[in-house]
Amino acid sequence: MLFSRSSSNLIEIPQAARLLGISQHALERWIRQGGVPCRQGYGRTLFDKGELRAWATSKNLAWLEGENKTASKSVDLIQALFAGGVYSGIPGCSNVEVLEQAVQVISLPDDVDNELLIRKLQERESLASTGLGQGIAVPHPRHPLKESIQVPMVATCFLNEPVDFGAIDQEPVFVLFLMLAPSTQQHLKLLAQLSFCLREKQFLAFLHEIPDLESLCNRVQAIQDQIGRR
Amino acid sequence: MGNWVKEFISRWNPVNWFDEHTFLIVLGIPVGICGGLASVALNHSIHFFAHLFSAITNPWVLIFFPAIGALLSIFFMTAVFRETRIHAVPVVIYSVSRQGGLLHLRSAISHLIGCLCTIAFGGSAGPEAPVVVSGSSIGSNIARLFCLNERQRVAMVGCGIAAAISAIFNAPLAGIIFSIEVVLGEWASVNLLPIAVSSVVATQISRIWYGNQIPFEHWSYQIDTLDIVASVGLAFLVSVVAFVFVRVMSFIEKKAAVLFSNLYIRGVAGGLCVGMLGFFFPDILGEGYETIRKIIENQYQQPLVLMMLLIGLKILATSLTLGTGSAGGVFAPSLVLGCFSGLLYWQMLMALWPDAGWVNGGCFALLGMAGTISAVLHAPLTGIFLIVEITGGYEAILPLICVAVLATSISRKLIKASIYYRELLERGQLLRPRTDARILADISVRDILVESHQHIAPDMRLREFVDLIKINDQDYYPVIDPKSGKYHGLVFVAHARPYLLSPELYDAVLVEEIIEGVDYAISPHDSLLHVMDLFEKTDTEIVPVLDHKKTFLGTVSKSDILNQYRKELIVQTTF
Repeated sequence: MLFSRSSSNLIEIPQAARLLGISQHALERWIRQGGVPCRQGYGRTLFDKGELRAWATSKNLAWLEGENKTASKSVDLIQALFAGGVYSGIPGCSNVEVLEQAVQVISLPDDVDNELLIRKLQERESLASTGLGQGIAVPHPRHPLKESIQVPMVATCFLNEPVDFGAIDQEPVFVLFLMLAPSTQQHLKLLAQLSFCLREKQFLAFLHEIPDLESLCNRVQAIQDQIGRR
Repeated sequence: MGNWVKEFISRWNPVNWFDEHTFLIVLGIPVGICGGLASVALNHSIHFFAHLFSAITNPWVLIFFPAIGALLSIFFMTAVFRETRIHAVPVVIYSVSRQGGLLHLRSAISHLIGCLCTIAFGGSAGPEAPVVVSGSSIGSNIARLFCLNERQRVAMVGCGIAAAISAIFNAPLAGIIFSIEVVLGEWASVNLLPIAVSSVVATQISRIWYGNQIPFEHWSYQIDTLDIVASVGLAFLVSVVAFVFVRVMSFIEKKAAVLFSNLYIRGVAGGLCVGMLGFFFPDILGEGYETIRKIIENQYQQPLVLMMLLIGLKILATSLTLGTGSAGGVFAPSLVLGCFSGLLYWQMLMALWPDAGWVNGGCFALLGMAGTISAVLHAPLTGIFLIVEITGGYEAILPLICVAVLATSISRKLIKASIYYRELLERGQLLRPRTDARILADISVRDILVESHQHIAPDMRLREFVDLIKINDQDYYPVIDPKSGKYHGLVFVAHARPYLLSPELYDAVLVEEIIEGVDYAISPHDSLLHVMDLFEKTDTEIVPVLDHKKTFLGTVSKSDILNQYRKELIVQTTF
């Protein structure tokens, strides 16, 4: 009667603490003091999520459901690379063509309108080149695709032959890192992490070997680990 | 309590059958019954012993009686029941504010027996405070039996207190108000209803035993405007008396503790002094209700000078009794002092302006009682309702309100804390509900500790640090020796900006050269009051938390405290 297992609405202390945005330690004290509605028995404490939300709302307390704080804070390049995938042999002889081909090849979420994305990428490209130099370009739309992209993704596309992107150093581009992020902050973080990797000469040489997804991710991990260790 | 009982209750806890409010109201009934019985039992025992000892008429024997009482009282309290703190009501107030109303079961009888020894042998003390402890301990333990949470347990303690006061005075309203005004400190409906129920039940228990009689019968009064105006002067007099009472009590308590380190010798010395005072002035002995009765019924006449002396001696006798370790309360002595002061004031009025048509001395005694209780406890409502109920003197309500309210305000100017709060205030344990101190005391460092940090090593070069902050978005980094685990300090990205923008320094600077937070840290057990103090002094936003071995545990930030403080305030102040 008290804890009917069928109800998926019952949550435990760690989850309730996360939703209320307080530490477990503080929530346990609230339970002890009787400040928060909960169900106790059999040596454990459970919360009815709906009841807890109503209580939090009635008291003007924060309710952090849906706002995944940690996701927006830490954006991981490796995860984004995994989400995007690695593609090689993209045909085309101008930046407009390769962008079109790349979007057709890579697997995008169902919600994404391919035509629209191509238009947006080309629009951004016409404003200023996304070529970073040394044969690298990071095409992306001007504004994040909030509705259709939930998880940040970076699709790595190796071109059939180098194409002129109008980069600063005039060097033709051989690889595109197509970046799609739900928010501007996430986009900037991905860009920062990528450009950090690209500073290494060995990493550039490694890219010329056209690695597969796994070895690419391993290499990025190795570069990031170096800093963590020091 | 056997384990199977606990098991049974946790499985079939009726808390889960009712909604919270209903259950607390229902639980107010047994608490009321037990509290009422405790007070009836104490009252009965005091009368029984008083009757027994009334056969002894030799005054030389009586001199030693208070000392014997003190000896017995201290023996029972310390040796038998192992109570560490003697003052009854402060124990309950502390428990309510800091331990969620947790009280020992033994406190339900220890204070009763201790107080019985004191009063039956003539010590100048009141039986109310011990009954209050007994009632609150009953409430607390009934709450524990049903595994109630702290807020509910505090409500049950409140029920016990109200039951005790209601039953001993046959005064249900005074019980409710004393419980909320003096002990709980917050008027919330979740507390009020069960307390009211408990108070009604306890009063009825006492009425079944003694019949519905008003403790002090009075004559009817004709109160004039002049009497109301004159009551202002009485408020000043009782405030001064209350002030002297609190001061003498605290002085004797401290002096006695210095003079006699042995508890028993201290008690006997105090008892002997009381005995000698009682040898000459027997009116100051015991709880003094007989004296009050005589004064209210206008059957007590003493010269003006003697009245002043009696006030001084009653203060002395009570301080010598309670200040030397005997169990008992200040409630009844305060009433006696109020009676004396009221009568004294009336005598002075009669001497100054005999034909002004003053109301009788009994009425002024009654006003004096309300004033003294209000001034000593800083609780005007308790004073007003108690006197109205125990004397049935509703005609005197107007001057009563004037005296009680005025005496409280004057007394608040004279003494910082009431007699119950003084001890707690001195120990820094006075934490009234809904105050800043209470909220900060509730939040612990562990509640707001941020643990997950990327650490850096002290010999990291600035270049590597710049690389790190490119991919990591912490605002600050703890510097910890990777080998020894020793904490060095914190590096704030914002403060390192001048170095970060100077690439020529990248290889010349080590992070240990730009650390901060070296000379200040807190431990996980520090109080938030101390932490806030540190924030003020160091003018920083973040302090490191180190354990006793100086290992880094995490950090605490000002903004997290503010966040938690607001949540805490909301949860504690809304029901």
